[in-house]
Amino acid sequence: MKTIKELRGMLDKKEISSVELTKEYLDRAERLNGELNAYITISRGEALSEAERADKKIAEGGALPLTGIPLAIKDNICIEGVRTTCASKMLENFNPIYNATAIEKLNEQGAVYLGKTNMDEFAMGGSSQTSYFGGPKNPYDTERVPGGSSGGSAAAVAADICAAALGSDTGGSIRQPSSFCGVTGLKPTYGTVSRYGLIAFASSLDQIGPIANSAEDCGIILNAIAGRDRHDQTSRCTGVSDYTSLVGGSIKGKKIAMPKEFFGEGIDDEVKECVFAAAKFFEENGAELVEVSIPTLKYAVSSYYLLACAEASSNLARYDGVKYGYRAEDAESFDELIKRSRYEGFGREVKRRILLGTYALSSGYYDAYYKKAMAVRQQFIKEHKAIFEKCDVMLTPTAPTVAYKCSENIDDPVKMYLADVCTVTSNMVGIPTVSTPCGYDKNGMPIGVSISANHFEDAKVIQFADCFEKQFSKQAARI
Amino acid sequence: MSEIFDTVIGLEVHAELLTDSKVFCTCSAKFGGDPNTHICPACTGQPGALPVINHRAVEFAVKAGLAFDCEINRYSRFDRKNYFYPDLPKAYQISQLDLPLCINGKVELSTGTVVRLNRIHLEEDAGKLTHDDYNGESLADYNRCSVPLIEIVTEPDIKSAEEAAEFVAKLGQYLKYLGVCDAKMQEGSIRADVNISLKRKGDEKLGERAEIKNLNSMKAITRAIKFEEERQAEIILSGGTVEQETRRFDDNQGRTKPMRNKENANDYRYFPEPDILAVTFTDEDIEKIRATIPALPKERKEKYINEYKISEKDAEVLTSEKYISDFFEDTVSIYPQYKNVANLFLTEIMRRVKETESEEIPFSPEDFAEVVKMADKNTVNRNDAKDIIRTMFEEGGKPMEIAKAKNYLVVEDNAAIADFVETMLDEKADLLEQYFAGKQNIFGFFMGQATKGLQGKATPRSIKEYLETAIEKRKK
Amino acid sequence: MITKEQLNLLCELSKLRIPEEKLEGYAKEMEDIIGLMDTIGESDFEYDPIDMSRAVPFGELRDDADEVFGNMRGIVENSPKTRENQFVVPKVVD
Repeated sequence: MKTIKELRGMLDKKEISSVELTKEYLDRAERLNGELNAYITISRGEALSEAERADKKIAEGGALPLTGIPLAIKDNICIEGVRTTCASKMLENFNPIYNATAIEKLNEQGAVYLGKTNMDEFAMGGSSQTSYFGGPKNPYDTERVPGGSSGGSAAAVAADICAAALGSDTGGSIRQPSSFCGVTGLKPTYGTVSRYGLIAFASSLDQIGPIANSAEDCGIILNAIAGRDRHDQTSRCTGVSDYTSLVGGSIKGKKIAMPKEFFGEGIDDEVKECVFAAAKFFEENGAELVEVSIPTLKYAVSSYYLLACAEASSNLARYDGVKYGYRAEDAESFDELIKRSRYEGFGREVKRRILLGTYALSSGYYDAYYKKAMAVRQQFIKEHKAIFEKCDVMLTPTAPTVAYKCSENIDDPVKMYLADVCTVTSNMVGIPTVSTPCGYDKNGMPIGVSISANHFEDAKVIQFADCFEKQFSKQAARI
Repeated sequence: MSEIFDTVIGLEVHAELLTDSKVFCTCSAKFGGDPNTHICPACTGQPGALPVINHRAVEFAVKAGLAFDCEINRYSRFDRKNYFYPDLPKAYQISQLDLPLCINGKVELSTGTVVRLNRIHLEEDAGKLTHDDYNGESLADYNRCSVPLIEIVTEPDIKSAEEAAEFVAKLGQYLKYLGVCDAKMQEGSIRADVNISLKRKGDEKLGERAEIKNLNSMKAITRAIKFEEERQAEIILSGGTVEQETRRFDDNQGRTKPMRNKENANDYRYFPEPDILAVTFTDEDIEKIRATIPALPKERKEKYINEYKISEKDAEVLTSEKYISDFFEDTVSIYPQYKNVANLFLTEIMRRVKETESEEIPFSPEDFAEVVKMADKNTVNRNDAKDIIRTMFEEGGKPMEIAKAKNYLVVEDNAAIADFVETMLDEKADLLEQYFAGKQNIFGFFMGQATKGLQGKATPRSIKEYLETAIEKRKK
Repeated sequence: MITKEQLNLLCELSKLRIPEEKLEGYAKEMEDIIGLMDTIGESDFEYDPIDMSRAVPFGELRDDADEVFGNMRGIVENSPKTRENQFVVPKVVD
């Protein structure tokens, strides 16, 4: 298990070539994927030719931080000509005709793509088990879920079948699987990374981000993919040139907010213990813990699901069997064509969320659901603003539990939704949050701690996570 | 329309904006092109593609709003209107609901009616469907998808088909003046939805209204409204109630019919478009846009009547279109003989531009000013001046060159006059005697002979002068 | 309570043809989910439609310059059914 930083050193010193490195990852990925199902598509051919190009670039002395580094890409991020399924029957054979901006930016660095990772269908879920291609498994215990929706990406990093990965996070989809798989995942500030080419779930919440073996690696990837993009109006110029610039900086005297609502009922005792231990570590290193309150948290899950599904019901309306993707056969009318294509092409969870979102926006219900949820969102923003006026970062559990068995929860949507309570507010507010491993439960399953900061202070959450990681002894996955 | 009912009409007029690129992507917004050759990931709703607002589309919408006395929302938001139709690849139209760019404008009609504008908002057009009955298929071309449209929504202030037609015509005229729309109804760049209901005279309560969708000619607007007035009157008079419904106008049959199928329960589930940020304006932004608005027909007409002393009817024609009015104004700025310029313009230029529909005058205001001046100064005679204009239209060329080539220049060749007149008087000494004896009309004969013989060499005035003097001399 | 009629309307609006025999199962799930969503009913915050964090100054909008997308053919070729370079659907009537 090596970090990008370590691999960079090896590649630059010619201890290993990118082709050799890529082959090692590909061989291991192909060997383990049968059991893990972390990848939907492994693209050996493309990966090796990208690695060759990277080696040339390295030989010419033009290596950038990610040149020749083998990465895995979540299967909802478009790579031109590479099958991109969103883990859905709807897009089973879909080949995008353009690159996502994040991919364009990684291409500029000469990164290598090993393949496309498994996920919840259209990123809707917290277990990755809603995938049309079968759910991926947790490398710490293959009877358990890797979390979701970026479960394949997190599992691939944890199983060392890629150096790092891109995921996407709408309500915790990078952080929760990172927590379940014992790796580091960063959801950047909304607008830091262009969403162009990220197949939309909920536009106002979606954000692409890295999953890696360290917070610093996350920063290295974010350096590559961040930036204002003319194809995405919601992308911003953050004014940050190096997201790892605060790494190693002292945290002495920094204030860490501990919102009490995140440590209440419903959070496993073992999770609480580990997160408190992490807090204690920071305290011992000179930071000050401050108890704060986010009273609106009780509305987090409902407001998040109402907004996310409302947007999703509209974003997913384009899948109709006309322009691309699954098309029902022998339909006699346009109406029948689209109704059947959509019913047959989407899985159950996706359909539930489309129905919920449609309900929240429909005439007579808009004010009671959608508008109320928008108001709650604005309230969250106010409450977080108040916290970050007096505190540097905020510390919370990433998930209420460790990874559960594949047989649990999955069929109970309400239980699944409630489990998102720790992660959704970060998306609702738009702030950066990193999850990093902070312990293991009695079964050896990883537990994650989340560190959030104010908008565009992504470098600060990386600094805190890095500070914690440097003294934390990780246990490798068993696979 | 009738003794019993008042007609109450509200319009929603869609006008396509003359931007180079589409409103939410960078594809060409030009009309035409082979099917699906002005498309990209964004306007065809590819997974992951995003809309990005075009600055000029917003500017044009605001410009239209300012021209119609609208207030501009300093914070204007876009919303999604969700419905499924094969000409709408994203299955939603990006439009504006609660915070449109422009609100509360007005348009005055010649009848004195002031039509209040509820709003002007910016939205994207849909694609084009062609229907293949034989195969039972519809084919979708997305070239028009995401071409910018403004929707101009009136209050129900319009009282007749004629007023509705005038309103749409005036809207088109103004939008063309502003340079934001070409107003070509035949290409669909302006189309109207009509909301119409009847109200018993004296009643406060409006009847149920019908909405007639997508009328794309003046004639269709007028005919559809007249048909609808009669249809609704018949229903009410026979004791029925008009159904609130969406109808379409069948041009061949000249009647409106209920739309069979929009395949949607009418619930568009509008919500704020999360892919696009709201647009904010400063006062300076607005003033900058206002400064790009040219003098509009009303103002120009008043100037022509009051300063140029041109009749109202002629002023109306001269301001009908901006390029005409501009050409006229450029001409009079060079040669400020307003009425003379106007007269030749109206008879010779207007007729031809109407015939060709080209909206292009193939010569410059300088050239035209020269022709008018030549006619005024008698450098050529008036009929020849008209022929010079015809030639400039049909073959091109500069006025003086044409006049020379066609031998239209009036020359005062005094030697030729003397020679011709003296010879004539010598030869016709007998007639001259008769003239001296009192036959006055013989002067006319001499004049006629000389004018004919001296064509192109002298003006009738000079001939007459010389002839009079010559005869006087011979009297002794 | 989500009735079958309500569910049918939602299916119509979202264009999902759920087979008759599955409607009940969906209705039950939707009821549970909406039950969770109803907790938002207790919240009482004012929604401000003017959200300056999601706004862009007029002057920063993109220039009106047209560009040709390089792979228009690919867009059409991705469609399951085309004719004459157009997307084909069963005939729609208005």
